Amino acid sequence: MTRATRLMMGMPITVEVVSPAPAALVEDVFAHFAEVDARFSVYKADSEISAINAGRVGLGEVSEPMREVFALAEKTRRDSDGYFDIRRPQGGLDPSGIVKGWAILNAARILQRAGVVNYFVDAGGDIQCAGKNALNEPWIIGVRNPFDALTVIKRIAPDGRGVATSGTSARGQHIYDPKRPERTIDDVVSITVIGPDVLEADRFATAAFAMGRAGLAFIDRLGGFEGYLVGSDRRAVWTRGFGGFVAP
Amino acid sequence: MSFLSCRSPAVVSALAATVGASLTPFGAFALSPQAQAPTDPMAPIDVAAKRCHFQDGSYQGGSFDAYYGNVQITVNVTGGCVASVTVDDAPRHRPRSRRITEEAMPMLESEVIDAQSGRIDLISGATLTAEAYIRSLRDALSQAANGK
Repeated sequence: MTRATRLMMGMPITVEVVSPAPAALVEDVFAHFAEVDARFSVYKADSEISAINAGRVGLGEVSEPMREVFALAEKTRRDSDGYFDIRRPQGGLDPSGIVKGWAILNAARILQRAGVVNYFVDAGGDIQCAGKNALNEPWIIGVRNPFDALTVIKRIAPDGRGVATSGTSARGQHIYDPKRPERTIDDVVSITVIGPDVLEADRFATAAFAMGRAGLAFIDRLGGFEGYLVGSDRRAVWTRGFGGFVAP
Repeated sequence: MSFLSCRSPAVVSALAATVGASLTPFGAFALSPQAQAPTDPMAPIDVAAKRCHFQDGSYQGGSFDAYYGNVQITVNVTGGCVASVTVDDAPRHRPRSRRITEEAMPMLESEVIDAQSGRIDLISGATLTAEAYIRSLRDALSQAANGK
């Protein structure tokens, strides 16, 4: 088993290849993430996206990966009825919300092309896994308790599908009113989405989270997607097919 | 923050140290004193111990990158105590349409969340924002301690 974690793109990225893998293969995967970060980070002045936002690169002269991400972003904007949008209110484009899932899926493809059957790629809690773990068991993903980072509140077996969680572990509890502790804040803390692959799960998790509670109904209506939503009232709601992925 | 396997309690403790704080039902940060490291911006924040030693006023922490966007919080201090913490900015795409929300919600099952035990290979969850939140909170509390 080969497993490595690096802190990249502001998050821990872990790659595990169950069978012994050449070290170069795992390096290829991290190099891919480094390339993505260099191209898409809005926090790097010399990234391509920063050049585009600064007007130094025209929309007609963007790279092929940028073109692909823009197309995915536009597709997601339409699919989500405008809830997902990489256009920032203050101007400029921020494709971060879609780049993560896209980068994880492409990392998984690097492994697949090398013939790897059993693996996972996890970037900041968004996950693409395939095959089985080192004990020849199905991969089990825990859904983190947004109110307590040390516990998980659901165990799911995605069986090769992608899993992404959108939300924050700091929402819900933060706006407590000390004068009215009984007040119920009807807010969504996190939504975990299982999709055909991690890119699909990520883009719809991001969009659904922006919709608030209606986001779960939106996921429920999509074919091939399931979701688990946690509210600030500590109640969870899930889509009709989600139970099929809950690990026994 | 799902880079650690959670097959053993030791690993769970390591995760706790990494996260630096867990969230309690009361909106304060649970403390992990053993993980104190003054130079580490992610070290635990002892809100409770310092709770009533602040200067009154509102203090806005810095804006910190949570990758999907920035997180910025404001600490409100009354009578020397942290009265409330509000989030001024959090990653969330702006709703541009109300059409979806107006559609009927299907009947879906619900439950009160509860910790689960059992084998886990990895974890899906959003803690990046929590880290940015802690950084901004630390910044605001530092201002509150000095009265800006």
